Amino acid sequence: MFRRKRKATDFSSEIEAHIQLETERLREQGLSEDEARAAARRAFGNVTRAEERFYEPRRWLWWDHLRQDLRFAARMLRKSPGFTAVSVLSLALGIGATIAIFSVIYALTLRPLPVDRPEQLVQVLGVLNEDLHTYSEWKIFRERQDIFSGVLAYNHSDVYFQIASPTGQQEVEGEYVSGDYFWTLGVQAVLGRALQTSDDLPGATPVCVLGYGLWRRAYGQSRDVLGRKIRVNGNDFVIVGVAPKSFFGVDIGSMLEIFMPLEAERTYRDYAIRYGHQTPSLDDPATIISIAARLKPGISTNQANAGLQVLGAEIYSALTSRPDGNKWHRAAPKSLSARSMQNGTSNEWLQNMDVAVLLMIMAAVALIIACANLGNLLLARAAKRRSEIATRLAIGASRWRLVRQLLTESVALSAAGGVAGLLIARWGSQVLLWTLSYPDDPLLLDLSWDAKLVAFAVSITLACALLFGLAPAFGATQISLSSAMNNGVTTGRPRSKFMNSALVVAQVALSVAVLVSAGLLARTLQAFLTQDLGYDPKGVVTAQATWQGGGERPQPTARVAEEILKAFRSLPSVTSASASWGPASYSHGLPQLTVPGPGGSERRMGAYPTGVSSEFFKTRRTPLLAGRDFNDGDTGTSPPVAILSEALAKALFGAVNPVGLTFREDDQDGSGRDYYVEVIGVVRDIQYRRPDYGPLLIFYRPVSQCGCSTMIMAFYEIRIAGAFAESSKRLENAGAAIDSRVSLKFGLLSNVMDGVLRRNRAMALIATTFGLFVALLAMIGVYGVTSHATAERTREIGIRMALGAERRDVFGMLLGEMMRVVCVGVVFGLAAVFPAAQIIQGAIWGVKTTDPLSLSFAICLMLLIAGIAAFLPARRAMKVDPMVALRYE
Amino acid sequence: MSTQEARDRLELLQGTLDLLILRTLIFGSQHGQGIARAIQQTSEEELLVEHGALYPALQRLEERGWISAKWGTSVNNRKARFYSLTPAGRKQLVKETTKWKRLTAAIGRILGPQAKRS
Repeated sequence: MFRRKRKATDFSSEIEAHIQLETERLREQGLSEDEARAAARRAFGNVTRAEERFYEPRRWLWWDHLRQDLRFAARMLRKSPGFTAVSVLSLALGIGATIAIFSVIYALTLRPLPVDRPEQLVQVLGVLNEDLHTYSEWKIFRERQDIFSGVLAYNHSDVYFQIASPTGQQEVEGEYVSGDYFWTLGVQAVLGRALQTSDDLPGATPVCVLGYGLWRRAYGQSRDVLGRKIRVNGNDFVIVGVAPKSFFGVDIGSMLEIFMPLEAERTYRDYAIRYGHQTPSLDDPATIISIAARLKPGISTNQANAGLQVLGAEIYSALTSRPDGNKWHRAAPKSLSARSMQNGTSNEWLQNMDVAVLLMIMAAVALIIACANLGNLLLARAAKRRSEIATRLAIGASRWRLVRQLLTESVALSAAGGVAGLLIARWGSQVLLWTLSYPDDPLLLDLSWDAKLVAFAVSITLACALLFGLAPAFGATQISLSSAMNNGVTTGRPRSKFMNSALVVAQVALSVAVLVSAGLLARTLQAFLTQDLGYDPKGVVTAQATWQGGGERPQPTARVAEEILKAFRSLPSVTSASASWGPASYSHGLPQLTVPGPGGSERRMGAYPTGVSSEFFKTRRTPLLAGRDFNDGDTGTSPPVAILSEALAKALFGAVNPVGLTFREDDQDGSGRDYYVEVIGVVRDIQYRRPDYGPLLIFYRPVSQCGCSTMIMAFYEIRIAGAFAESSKRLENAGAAIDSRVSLKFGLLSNVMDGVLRRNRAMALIATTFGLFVALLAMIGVYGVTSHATAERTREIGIRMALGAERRDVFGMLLGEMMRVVCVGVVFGLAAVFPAAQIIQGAIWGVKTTDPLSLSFAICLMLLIAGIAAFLPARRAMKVDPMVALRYE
Repeated sequence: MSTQEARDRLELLQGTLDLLILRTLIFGSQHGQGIARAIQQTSEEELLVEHGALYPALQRLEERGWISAKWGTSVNNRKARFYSLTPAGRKQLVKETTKWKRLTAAIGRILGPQAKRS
């Protein structure tokens, strides 16, 4: 029921009427007007009290108090802008960093997939307990399974497609998916329809579903995209629908923008373009497919596992008993199992979690230190406000009301910090994403805010307010009225020395641990940078070529590529030039190499293949350790030859000089042909990836010999004499003169390693920033504690000086006392380094945890900072005039 | 009526004011001052009702829906807020009265007949 709230004025007029009535009654009894009125008032008692009692039970009261408190808090904060600025800033940085890092961790591991009932989804694991399956396996699995209410498959590797859309040619991330993909996930198209089973049949019309981002970017969200054709890798697909905005696939960290049926891939066989000479067809074991499924309601993962075990064995015997069964022995699963996929799959990015966790801990440490400092500063302020608080208590404010008032100030401070922190977090989480990304494989996450993230941010902010506000609020209101009122200006009850010391020890210890961790990360980066790369990147320009229209006609493009290389070499400023397939690590699938082992046995291993032209090693200045380089005599008709990397030569042939020996390269394309390849040389290992992964096992083949009819030599490396800008212009002109459809993207070879190490660089930078931030906070903390303690001891210092202590002695005593505490903190901090290093073990390489440089840097910096922070108050104490100090009290 | 007199009066037990107000209103609507007077007179000036305490109590009863109020004019032509008993208030009065009678009877039995007079 809604009853109108009664107004306070209405209540007051009722009381007024009462007093009138009573006065009249008393006058009728014979009292004078004044006497009657006074008596009536006396009988009524305290009018204000009655009004308050009318008013108080109303819920408006807390709102009123809150408004008063907030107004008062704002006034107090405005009155000390320096204090407010320092507190808000340090809180903002602490809260912002914590939220930024948490939002990334949340998106990586905790945020459920934006699909229907994600808790029912499982990943189906096969060989080696990984989600590696084959298309043939998937077909049998789909037909025979009755464990799940729905199943789906998609190709596992990150695949970029060249698409031609109204806004021009671009490369987008996409996936081939099974027809039941969208249905099983329960994802509806926002426009048109999702893919369906009938699209994923041999010979079906090639259709595709656009991701929301591509639809917006390339088609301006136009509704008439349906039925239009989009050119993907040179093939036309009909657009039938658009996926929802929030849907990015099931792999966390990717952002799929085009979905096509698996069978369409067979139709177009664009594998040749993407995978080079290996061209595995959809039915080959080399094609990797991922399988996921939706559990039936009420079925647990364990129950599903029992069924999967049986099904796995069935699939294995079905595949191996086929006519081509021998190639399925390794590729078919002997058993299957399920793993929850509620939060998506993110195997690749989970290895970055240790770094994220470390950063999270650093941010939390920074935030806690910031709170401790604020608490300390507020305590000191509260001491100054003792007489104000005592007065308020004396005139009848309740203690709870005052605590609330002081807490409101803390919450206001914290909220200001939180709001500023959110701005920092928005920006910080992008920086963090960039840090975790590899240049050619960006980490794309849904960082939008949902209820859980908002709850996290709000509770962090409130927790901070309580953390730094509770102790001062209760401490300040716990005062004896008489003493506080009498000697109004004395500072508060001396805080225990132990508390002060503990605060400093904790801050210094945490700072040292963070600084050492940052130092270790920086030293790791240094170790990477000084690592022998196996080549000299200085003065080498890279050029990546793309042909308009993708790889529609591979034959002529290979010829064009060679002509461009010749044109480059003929330029006067070019010392040498080469072409290759690109970094060896780009290879998909490892060909197996076999050599005869001792006693008729065989030695087999997988190695990374890469095709290079002549002068590749000369351009990179990679030393040839044995044998010769490729030359013009190595053609498609001459005997197959290869140059091995040092690591591969050692692994395959041991200590024997392999030059002149041969190895067998297993058939990968199903043509039934094995190659026998002669080794003509060995080169120094080239670091294509982060040095801590060790050198890749690489075999180089001349581009002229390895199925290059379908391969584009897209990566040029040119050693130049002269400036980059000028040379790249000339190279571009030379390329355009050969074929105008070629576009060249220029870069520096030295940037390649920079790209690989970008994460390490950024990580070291972020950690160092955190370290300095935490150290700065510790400085504020030490300063606060020292100046407070010194102020409390003014009298003692006065006595000491009156008794003949030199100023120098006083200074030395105060500084010495503080530095002793700081040293204890440093020792604790060094002890904390070991657990911290455990967490970032994966990110540390080439340095020991006890790296003397990192340790001494952290210790010296900390002592310096603490020294400065303690020096200022100690110098102030030195100037104490004993007469003044003693007279004062 | 002097302060001396007032001091001799009995202070109300916690919670009994509500009961007395409801009881007073059984004879018809009345304004605050009238209620205060009625309680004092009916109790033969034995009970002390602090007028200030009366209004928050009236407010409380009104919010519970036991009494209703509207502004009206008093016998001597003054504006006053008149309270009257609602059906729910009537029920509450019966309940509270029974409770009170049981309570006083029980306490009376414990204190015994000789304690009655002093």
